[in-house]
Amino acid sequence: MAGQQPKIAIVGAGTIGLSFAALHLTKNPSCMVTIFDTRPDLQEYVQRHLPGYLLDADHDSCMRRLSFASKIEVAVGDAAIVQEQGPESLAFKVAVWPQIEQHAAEDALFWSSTSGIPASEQCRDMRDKSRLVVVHPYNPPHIMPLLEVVPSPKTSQTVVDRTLEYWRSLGRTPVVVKKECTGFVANRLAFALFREACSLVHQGVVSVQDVDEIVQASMGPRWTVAGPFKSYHAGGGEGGLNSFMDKIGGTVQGCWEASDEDVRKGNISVGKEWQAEICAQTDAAYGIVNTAERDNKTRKVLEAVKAETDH
Amino acid sequence: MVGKQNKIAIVGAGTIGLSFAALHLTKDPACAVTIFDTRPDLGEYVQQNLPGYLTDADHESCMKRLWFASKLGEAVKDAAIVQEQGPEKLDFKTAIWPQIEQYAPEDALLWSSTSGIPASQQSRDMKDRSRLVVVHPYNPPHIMPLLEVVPSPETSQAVVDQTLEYWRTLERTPVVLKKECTGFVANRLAFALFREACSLVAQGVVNVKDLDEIVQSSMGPRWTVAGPFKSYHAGGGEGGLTSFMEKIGGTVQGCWEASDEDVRSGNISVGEQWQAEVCRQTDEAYGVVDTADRDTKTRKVLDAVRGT
Repeated sequence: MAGQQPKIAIVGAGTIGLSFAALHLTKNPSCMVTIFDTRPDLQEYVQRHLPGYLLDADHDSCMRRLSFASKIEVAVGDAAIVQEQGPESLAFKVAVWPQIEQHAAEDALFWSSTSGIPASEQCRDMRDKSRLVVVHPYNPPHIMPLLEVVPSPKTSQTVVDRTLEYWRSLGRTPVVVKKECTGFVANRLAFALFREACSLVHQGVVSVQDVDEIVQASMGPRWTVAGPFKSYHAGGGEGGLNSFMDKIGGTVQGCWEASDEDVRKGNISVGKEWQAEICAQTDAAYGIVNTAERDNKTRKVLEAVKAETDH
Repeated sequence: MVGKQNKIAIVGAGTIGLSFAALHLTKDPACAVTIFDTRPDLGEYVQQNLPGYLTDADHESCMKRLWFASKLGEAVKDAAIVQEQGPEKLDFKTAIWPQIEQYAPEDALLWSSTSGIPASQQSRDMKDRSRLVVVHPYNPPHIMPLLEVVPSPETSQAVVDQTLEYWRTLERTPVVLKKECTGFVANRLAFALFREACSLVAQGVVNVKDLDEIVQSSMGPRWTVAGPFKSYHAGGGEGGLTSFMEKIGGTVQGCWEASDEDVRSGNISVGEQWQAEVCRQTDEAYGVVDTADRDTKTRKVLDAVRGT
């Protein structure tokens, strides 16, 4: 698909929509992108904000391949791909997909960027439920390579395969999630660690900045090169993960039990007493984050690990 | 301290001891290292295994500054730093520290690399309990910059300060834990994620390789540059973490509840039914890991984020 002149319809021009628009335009030099959103100042808004996402790219060439639509049927009419990132409301999603289906080409791919509303719920009123799949980015997708591809039980294999092919041809990392589950995978993992982090800060073991420093100097770099299973497998030496669990399993279990106990005692649920203090500490520590700098460093890190892999 | 002829005594020549020996030798070109271990083939064993840890360094210069001791007293008697990584047993630790205390200079820093036995327990039979502090690495310390510095309630501030100073001079990342707790911090965080990973694999949501790929292409690089708090704070835009928790808090709570439910129904405890299949998948996916390759990549990643 990449290599012809495919048109991609971006439904919803929030930060995710802009980031995806930039990703397609910069990584797929022959594609066209049409952005649809109900905001009245759409064109002006996009022209102002999109350049910030167009990294390492010829701005002119990108902006020339960009158009705007004030009606959804115009946006999707000749699209090869329709990518939705509208409000995270079931009612919105359930209503928009049949509209898109009505006006899009028969073989257009339908992707939702949702972080929480599975395709099996979004597709409720569609004629052909096999067309819809969730393609959930890690924010922001023009920087982070991961895309969680989450089919519903009805999504066709062809749709999944074509989706994977597209993203691989753009050099991204699409991973199929085999069952719909709350939060999918990346957020489940990250939030599990985040809860433990909140719990330990709440107990006064470390500060917010200490946690970040710890993670940046250990798990971050470690898991950029080898994920947790591969890392613990290596940690087990010749006997692999089996051996690791034999030798270190007691420590692991002790930690899991201590974590449960601490989360219980600290009442680490969203909105409870621990939260205000930790948010205050975080605000005090970081103020306004320079995301451009962060994104630059992240790209360097990704290039570093990719360069090694390509050897 | 660094710059004089620091002598560092390494007690216990397992992989952590070798890795630390290499770290001192390569990053502190003025230091001398003495390794003590009860194994009869110590010299030969170290000569065979240490070079593999001496990355980016003049092997000869390092090996020339390396000594061996067959007696503990000999190893520690003129050490500025004594670093212990012996068996993870309370009996061993409580027995060895008074011995080390007896032979080492009065102002020697006393560090344990333990991952689980706090200084407050190890120091039980010492004369001066204020001297001992845990310095827990992230394996292997010659590659990973983190050191968790975990004082007991008795450890003196001077000992903590001198410890931090040493590691910062070597450009490592020492972080002080304000309280002793089970597993300290890095392992608590990593194992929390690991449990969730095991749970999702056990449910068939993803396989082992896919889960690793997910982490490597998202959290790994993200948290190399900015840890979780800074990242979610940025995610909240102008309103920071407070705003993030307002907007995304429902999703976060939904995930936490689903995680608890799944861990419960999957009985994700060490040694239970889920474990064999997850280990089998991992063995099949990875075989024998080339750690040299992994370490080289890790160093490139660390160089990239430090801008070197």
